Amino acid sequence: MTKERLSKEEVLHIAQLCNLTLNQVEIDKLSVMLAETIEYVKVLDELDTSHVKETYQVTGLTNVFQKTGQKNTTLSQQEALANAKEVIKDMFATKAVFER
Amino acid sequence: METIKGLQAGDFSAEEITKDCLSEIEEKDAKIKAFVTVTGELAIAEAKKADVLIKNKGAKAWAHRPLLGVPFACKDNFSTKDITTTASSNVLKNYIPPFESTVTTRLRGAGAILLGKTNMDAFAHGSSTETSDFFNTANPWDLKRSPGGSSGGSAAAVAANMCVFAMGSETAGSVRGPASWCGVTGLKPTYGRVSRYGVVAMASSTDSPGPLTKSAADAAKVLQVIAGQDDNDATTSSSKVEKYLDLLEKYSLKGKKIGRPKSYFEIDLEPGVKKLVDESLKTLAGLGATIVDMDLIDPKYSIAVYTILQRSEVSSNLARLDGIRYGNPRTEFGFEAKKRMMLGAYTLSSGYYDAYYAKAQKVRTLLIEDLKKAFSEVDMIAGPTMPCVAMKLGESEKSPMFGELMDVLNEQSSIAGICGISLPCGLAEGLPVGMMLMADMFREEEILGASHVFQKETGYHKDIYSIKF
Repeated sequence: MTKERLSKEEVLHIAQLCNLTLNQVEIDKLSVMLAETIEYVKVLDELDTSHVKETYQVTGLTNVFQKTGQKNTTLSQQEALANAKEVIKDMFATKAVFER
Repeated sequence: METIKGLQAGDFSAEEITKDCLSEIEEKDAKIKAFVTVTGELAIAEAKKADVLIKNKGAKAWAHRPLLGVPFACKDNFSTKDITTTASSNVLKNYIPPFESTVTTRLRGAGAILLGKTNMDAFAHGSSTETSDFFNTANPWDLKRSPGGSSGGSAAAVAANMCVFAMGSETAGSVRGPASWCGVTGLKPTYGRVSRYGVVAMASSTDSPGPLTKSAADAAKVLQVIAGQDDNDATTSSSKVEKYLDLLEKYSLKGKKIGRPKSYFEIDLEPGVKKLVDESLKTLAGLGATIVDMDLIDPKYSIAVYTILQRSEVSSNLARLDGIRYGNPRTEFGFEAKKRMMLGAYTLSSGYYDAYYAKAQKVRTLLIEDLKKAFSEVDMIAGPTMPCVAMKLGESEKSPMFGELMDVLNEQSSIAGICGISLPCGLAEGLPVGMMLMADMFREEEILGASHVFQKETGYHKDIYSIKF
């Protein structure tokens, strides 16, 4: 069934899944734009894929592991923290789950 | 590369050519706005070091540093240590990476000199560079028009002669598209040929860094440096890196079969684009190739597959931007990024996954098989890169799928991971048109060779020198 727009509740639900906040103008635009795109991609239903496997990796690589003795490129703690919004005791400060 | 010949002959020093580029940027970039960051002081310091090496070692200085003294610009989604890397987004506006991408490590290790970071669609979400959270970039051919995108700043910088070459990245059309609209050469290598390490991720299963250059020979020279397996990117391939530049010099079109897919010419193409691409196919035939009519699956399916896969991967990749470890809070995302993440969350969500995401991955298999069959019959496939010449700034906002519709002719090759190149094939109403050549996986030498032969014959790649500023 063709849906011309998603409901405000649907849009807000998806935004919540993405941890995004939207203003009213964005909600209005997205309810139409998302429905339009979802409608467009239904064109794929014209193709029979009942015996077709998915391709997730185009060059066919599987199980690529780190080589023995490979030099690890990793950041020092100070480098890793360099862009942090807030640092407490040389660690990232996040929203408190319990009181700090 | 003319620059290297000039440096070797002592016509100019690395410092002089770098300063030349910086003064071109100073003069032209107020209007074009290709650069987000210019690293002038660093560039001059690096150029001085290059000059010392050249003075001490002479021509041998290039033996291990094939790009010594060559100034380049880099799309602002390649992490550069201690240099702001924004992906043209407010979220990463102040982000200073503590590490360097593999591509820029290899380029700078080869002696290339970084001039600055170029504007792009924010997080590479777009085909016009208009979704940049900072400003629009103008097309050097007509300042009222878009340079294309998402590597629009890089394409404009090359066309306006503000650098010798530039790095871009492509998910579907983001190198080839702007190359076409700005009249430069743009190479999208095979997926896994060039490392994605340190590139701000867009759609990880298709992202391919690639150069924007003034000729196919320059593209070969740059590819030689950046291609190859990388321990930091498990999806890079161990397949042999060819000597692209040597192969390009020896290349001949005699005996080569080039497919002309009917469906690529039946979409809504501007007459000027169709005419120039067909004329170019005649030129290729005149140079020894056989042009054969063929067909590929209707591009409308590629648009749908790409839309689903790209949005899904975007929603997953941008989830990491939490504003805690680096970057600004998620409230800073622009509308385009929000739209893409949300569609991706929808197509990946429980209940819709099979209908959208899994379905798209199955059709991806069909698109790959379609190309495999084609390459069992032809060496290359040719078509227009873009359906039209550069559009006026502002036009892109009118469609929620503008990018996908513009990139319609690039999408199947990107989804399948094969290589492709866009090369200038003349001007329609004063604006450049690009022809695309595609070859099977890891056959970059084929499209680079064919492009080189074409460019020697036509000289269209030199049209950029006629741009009036």
